[in-house]
Order: sequence, then structure tokens, then C-alpha cells
Amino acid sequence: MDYEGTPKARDEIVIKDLVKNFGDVTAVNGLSLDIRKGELFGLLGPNGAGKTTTISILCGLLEPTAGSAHIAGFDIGKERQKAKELIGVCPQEVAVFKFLTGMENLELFGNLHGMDKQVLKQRAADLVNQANFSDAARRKTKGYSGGMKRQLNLMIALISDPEIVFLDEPTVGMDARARRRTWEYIGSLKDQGKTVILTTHYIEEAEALSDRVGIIDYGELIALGTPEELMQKHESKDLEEVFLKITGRRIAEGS
Amino acid sequence: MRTQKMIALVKVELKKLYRDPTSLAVLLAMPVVLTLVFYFALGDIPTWWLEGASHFEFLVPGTMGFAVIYMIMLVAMGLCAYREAGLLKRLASTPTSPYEYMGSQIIAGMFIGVFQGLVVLLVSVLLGFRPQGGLPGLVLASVFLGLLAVTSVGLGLLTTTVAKSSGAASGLSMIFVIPMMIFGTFLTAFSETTYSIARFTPNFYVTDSLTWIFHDGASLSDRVIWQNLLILSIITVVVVVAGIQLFKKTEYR
Repeated sequence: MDYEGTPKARDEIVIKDLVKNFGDVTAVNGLSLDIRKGELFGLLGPNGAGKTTTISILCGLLEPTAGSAHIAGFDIGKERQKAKELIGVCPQEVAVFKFLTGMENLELFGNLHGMDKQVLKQRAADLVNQANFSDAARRKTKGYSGGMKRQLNLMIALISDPEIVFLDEPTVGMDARARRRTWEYIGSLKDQGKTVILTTHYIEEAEALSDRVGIIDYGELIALGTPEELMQKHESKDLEEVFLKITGRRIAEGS
Repeated sequence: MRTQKMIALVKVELKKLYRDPTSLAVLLAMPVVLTLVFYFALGDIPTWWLEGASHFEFLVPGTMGFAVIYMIMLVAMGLCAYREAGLLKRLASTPTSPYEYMGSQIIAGMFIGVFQGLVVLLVSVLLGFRPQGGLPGLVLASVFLGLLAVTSVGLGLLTTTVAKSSGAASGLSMIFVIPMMIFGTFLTAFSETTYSIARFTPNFYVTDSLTWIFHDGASLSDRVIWQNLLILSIITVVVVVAGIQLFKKTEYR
């Protein structure tokens, strides 16, 4: 990875020495990371580790205090709008318009991505059909169950058929069946060649889905590799054990 | 700027109004109730400002402006509710620029504001008010109402940047609404002092112009009208630019 020049084609996301301070609190502390095109990357960390702040910077929602981030070659600081054209974001909270139907929500966000009317109609229909959501899509989201809202939340992120998808805790509040179905769906995004950045509290979710995992704590990247590499390196039977070992050690060191 | 994005966002704001009972009440019931209250309270009292007119008729132009300034509260509460639901962040993560988003708020606000003002006029006419000025007067009045609505959206944006919640937004918007209501609408001509204070409120220029248009048939060629239009336009630009800049900095990048 050449951080000084233009990012190499295989690197879809390039983060270099990223810092974000909120007053005296440092949420992201010199984070450097590259995420490859077509990769499903799991971003893990305890609460308050800086995951959501990192994602928010990459989505152009927050200005970094220092450092840089490139999305498909576009500097998120200087070419924010161009970078935003390539991304789809599924936020942690369910962010849908309650007074609109599911389909109207999808069409709205498609329009905000500047999609052609016919393409948008087809894409929305495909998404709701794939998710078995056709009937629900015609109803206002106010009456949706929590799981349905989460499904729609994810579909909105995908309406523009983005090259890069940010999924921030996409399965929180889902029952086991819905979660499993969503896992399959997230896996299929990778098959479509999309780059997926997944943050989750469910370590088994990251282990099952991710090509590589990055663990951050106190805003710093403390581990990076495939789940297998990390398990081998830290002599652990699963990723959860790795996570607890690494983050637990830092808590002990800090105390 | 992409019109496709702005049209989509304007549609959302308009759909919210007719699908959300609270918004619909503010949109329709408020101007109707307001007009009826003034009619029943002041309809039989002759005004000392206009010969042969009731105090209700004298207050119709001010009431039209008063209905519009509630846009401040509507916008601030709506945007705070979007923020609480994570919608502002979600919208900001799309390739829709802050200017496109706020432009849509301004366009929607203009439609709603003019509509509310005209509802007051319609109810007043049904209650016996006979405005002068004909169709040109109505168009000119709509321009004033539209500018006031845009100013109100700007003040709503400013309120949103300070308010932590939609509840707080409703209270904070009163900082703008109450002085505008008291000085710019109802107590404008009460004394020299109230008149001087009123000149600092944007709706004073609407109340004054609409009074001239509807009670005297004044047109754009009259000095008082184009002067008021110029001053109101300047206020609108200043407030909207300030609102957009602050909103862009704190809420929508």
C-alpha cells in the first residue's frame, strides 16, 4: 500500500493516521488500515472503541481531526460527494421515515442517489422480492415489527446498488432466524463483488462472515488478519476468545 | 444541484403533513381556529385605524403573517425529530448536498407557509372580509408570505442547531415566534415604542404590506410596498444564509 500517492486499485478504502477528537476525548487515535475491493471486512471492538466514529468519518458524516481516508480513490475530506455516490450505509439505529411506506422509503433514497426512475423501480422490486417483503413494502413503516424495520434499514443501504456497503450492527434486535437470513444476504453481497465493512457486537457473526477482521480499542487498531490467522496467533479456539484476550489484556494494562 | 433529489425531498415533507395528524393540525386547524377566534372576539368591534372596518378585518393581514411564522416551530420540531430518529445522518450519508437538502426544506416551507396564509384569507373572506387589490394583490401578498415562510425556515434551521430535542425545539422556537407575534402582528401600531420594535421583526413588513394591499389596493408601484419587499428580501437572505451555514456546520455535512 502506497499511502503517499494514489491508493492502489485493489484497495477500496485506505485510512491513514486517522484521528478524531471530541474535546478532550480521543475517539480514533492514529488509525491506519486498508480494505480491499470485494472484501468483507469485520470491524470489531468493545463499546466506545471508535468503530462508529470511524464509520461516520468514512461516510463523510464527521470531519477527521487529522489523517486521511480515501474511498475508491476519492479523498473523503475533499471529494466527499463523489465518495458518497459509491457507498450505501446501514446505520446502527433504524433510520426510516415512519409516515412513508417501505417502498416509498426505498424510492426516496434511490432518488437521493440520483438513480434513473426505471432502474430504481426495478431495483426496489428486486430487493423487496428477494427479502420476501413485497406485502410489507406497501404498508407504512409505522406498523412494522422491529425485525421488519431492520430489514428495510438494510435494503435502503443497498437500493443504489453501491460498490461499498457499511453495515453498522445490522442484526441487532433480530431473532435467530432473521439474523441467519441476514447473514446469508450479507454473504451474497460479497458474491456480487461488493466491498462490505461490517461492525458488530456478535463476534460469531464477524467470524462467520468476514474475510478479514480488524479489532480496535481506544481508537487504535490492535489486531488485523483473517479470523484463522488471529486464532492461530493468539492460540484461541474462536474469535471471541481472541477478542477477549486482546481487549482484556489492554484493560489490565490500563488499570 | 439535482432537481430530482430536491423534488423527492419536498414530496416527503408534503406527505408528512397530510399523513401525520399533528402536522396536519398545525397546517390546517391552526390558521382556521386562529381566524375564527379573532372573528368572534373582534368581529363586532370597530377599529380606530380604518373607517368602517371591524378590528377583525384590520387584523386579517397580520393574522396571515402570524399563521406563517409557525413554520419556525414546524421546521425546528421536524428536523429535531429527524435527528433523533437518525434520519438526518442517513440523509447526509447520501450524495445529496446540504444545499440540496436545505433547498428542499425552503421550497416545502414556502408552499406550506403561503398555503397557511391563504387559508386565513379564505376563512376571513367567508366571514365577510372583502380584500382590495384583486388577483395582482393576491399574487403580491403570496410573494410576501412566501418570503416570510423562507425566513421562518431559516429561523427553524437556527433553532434546530441549538435545540437538543424536538420538545426543546418547540420551546426555543418561541424566542422568535412570540416577539414576532406580539410586535410584528398585533401590537405594531399600539405606540411609538411598539412600532419601533416591530421594525426589527420580519413579519412587520408583511403585516404592513398586506394591510396596504388588502385595505387600500396598493401595488408594487407604491413606494411602501417595494421598500418593504426589499427590506424583507434582505432579512430573508441574511437569516437563510445564517441558518444554512450553522445547520451545515453542526447537523448536515
